[in-house]
Amino acid sequence: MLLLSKTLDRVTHALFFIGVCAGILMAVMILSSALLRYLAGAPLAFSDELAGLLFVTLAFTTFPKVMLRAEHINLTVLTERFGPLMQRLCRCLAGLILIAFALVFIYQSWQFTDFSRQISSRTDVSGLLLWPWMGLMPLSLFLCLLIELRGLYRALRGDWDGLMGEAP
Amino acid sequence: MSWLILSGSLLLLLGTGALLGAALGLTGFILLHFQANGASALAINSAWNLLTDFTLSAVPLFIMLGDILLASGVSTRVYNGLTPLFRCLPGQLLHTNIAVCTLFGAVSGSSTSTAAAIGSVSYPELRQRGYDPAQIVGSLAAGGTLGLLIPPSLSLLIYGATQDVSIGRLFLAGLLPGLMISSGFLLWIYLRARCKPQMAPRQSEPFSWRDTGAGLLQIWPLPILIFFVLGTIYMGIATPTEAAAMGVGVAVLIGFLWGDLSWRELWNAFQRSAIMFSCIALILVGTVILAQAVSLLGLPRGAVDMIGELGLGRYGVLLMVVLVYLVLGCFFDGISLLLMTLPITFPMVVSLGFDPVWFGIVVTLLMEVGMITPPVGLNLFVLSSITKGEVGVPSAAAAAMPYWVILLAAVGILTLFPQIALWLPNTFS
Repeated sequence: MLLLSKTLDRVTHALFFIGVCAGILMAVMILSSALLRYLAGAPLAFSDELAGLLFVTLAFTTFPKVMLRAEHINLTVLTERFGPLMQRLCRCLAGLILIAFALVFIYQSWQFTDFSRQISSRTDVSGLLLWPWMGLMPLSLFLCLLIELRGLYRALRGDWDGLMGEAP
Repeated sequence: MSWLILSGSLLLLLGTGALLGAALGLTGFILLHFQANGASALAINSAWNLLTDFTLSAVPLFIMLGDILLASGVSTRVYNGLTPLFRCLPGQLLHTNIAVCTLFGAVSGSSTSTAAAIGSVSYPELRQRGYDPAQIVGSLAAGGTLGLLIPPSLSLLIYGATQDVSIGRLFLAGLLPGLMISSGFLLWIYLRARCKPQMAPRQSEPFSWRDTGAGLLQIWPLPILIFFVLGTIYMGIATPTEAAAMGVGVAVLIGFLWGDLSWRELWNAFQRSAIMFSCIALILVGTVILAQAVSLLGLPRGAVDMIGELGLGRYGVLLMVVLVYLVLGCFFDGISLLLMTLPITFPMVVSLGFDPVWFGIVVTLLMEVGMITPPVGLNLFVLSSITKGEVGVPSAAAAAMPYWVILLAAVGILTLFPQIALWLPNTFS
């Protein structure tokens, strides 16, 4: 169990590292393309579509890490006024909402990715296969789902710290 | 029935403290599944199309730009450079807070980044010089909001990218209202300091043109950065995304050559910006799913018809929209509020004949109001934490109240005279 938990943390950190690098690469590529267009008259033809794919990568690869740090935005104005017991109940409900959302999203995005894989859908200019990038959507939400399930499991065993917003 | 599901689900899901993106997305999925014949698959298609949109790539880049500037200590230098300029005015360095926030707003797209960057430099300095702590925080909280309106603005960028409105026009339109509000803030500080001189210490250093000139010369890299970020867009040289990337490049150079940026700090800035962007991105995903459901079910059209039957007229409807934003602004942060309301309010307001560019500016102003409205006013929290509890959120909110009124007055002025926002984009396009 501990090994699984550690693996989940490591995969989450690795994905986050990839996401940060994707962000940097996106900035460097757009900058290079703009400079090449004005200085050499030859912009990178594929920069727009690759920037879009790196943007998706940056978004989805960072969700699990931010989830792990409990930094995603939520509305706590109401729940902060509740007593500890009610707060825990609300937190469990919030967890179930995330799980429901993640399950639907994973199912639908998996279908979307699988269809793209079947037709070997590619980008227009650079001809990059799209399904590996699309696959980040179900993967990311799957990790978020696991992180939330782990938090709920720990809470059931009496450890509420991770679930109630303290960064592990 | 769709309205019932929409409002009921949102109330229930958000009332439990669920993640905003998940709550919005799940509401969208419920609507698509039960009201739109199980069209949930469309939502993923929309999310993919939105997130691979080149224009939206500017959002993380502008966040990076702000974080790099914050990490490189550039705000300290800019603050020190502008300090001599306001020595002769009543209120002295409180004016500097607004002026530096205005300048910083022209390179940073975020209100909170601006408030944090300037607040961390200004608060200790002004506190040491004997300024009223609540007044310092009030001016900084208000000044920080300028980061959201003065281009480049994350709010205008997201508004333009999601509603298909020209970002160049939006950035031009934000300029005059931003300067108008900044002048309004300066005027308020001047008048207040004239009536209540104890809010600032007695002037100890005389005004000197020499010091002022030297101070202004000291901030020479900032206009260069502003040129790369804004000048290139206005001159039609670069798209907002390219300008943001150039801004990141120039900010890194300035940070290393002029500021105190190190490789470690740079990497930390990239990580911080990735985390901040991720928070926005999850809400983007949730919103796009909800927006798909809302537009497929024709809810905005239904809202327009329903309001039309009330016989309120277009300004009556606008007033209702403004009131809704003011109320919701008490509970949601700016970008979240923008993303979750636009699918309904944008088509509604535009169908009544209001200019989409003008509405973008008004909505951003309303976001700014929310940034200094308790209990969720983010700028108040950020600054209260910078003061290490010396100024609590209620005191900060009370000190920011006059600026809140100025922002709201600006909404009224822009409604009466929309040309203030539209003149520049109409002239240059």
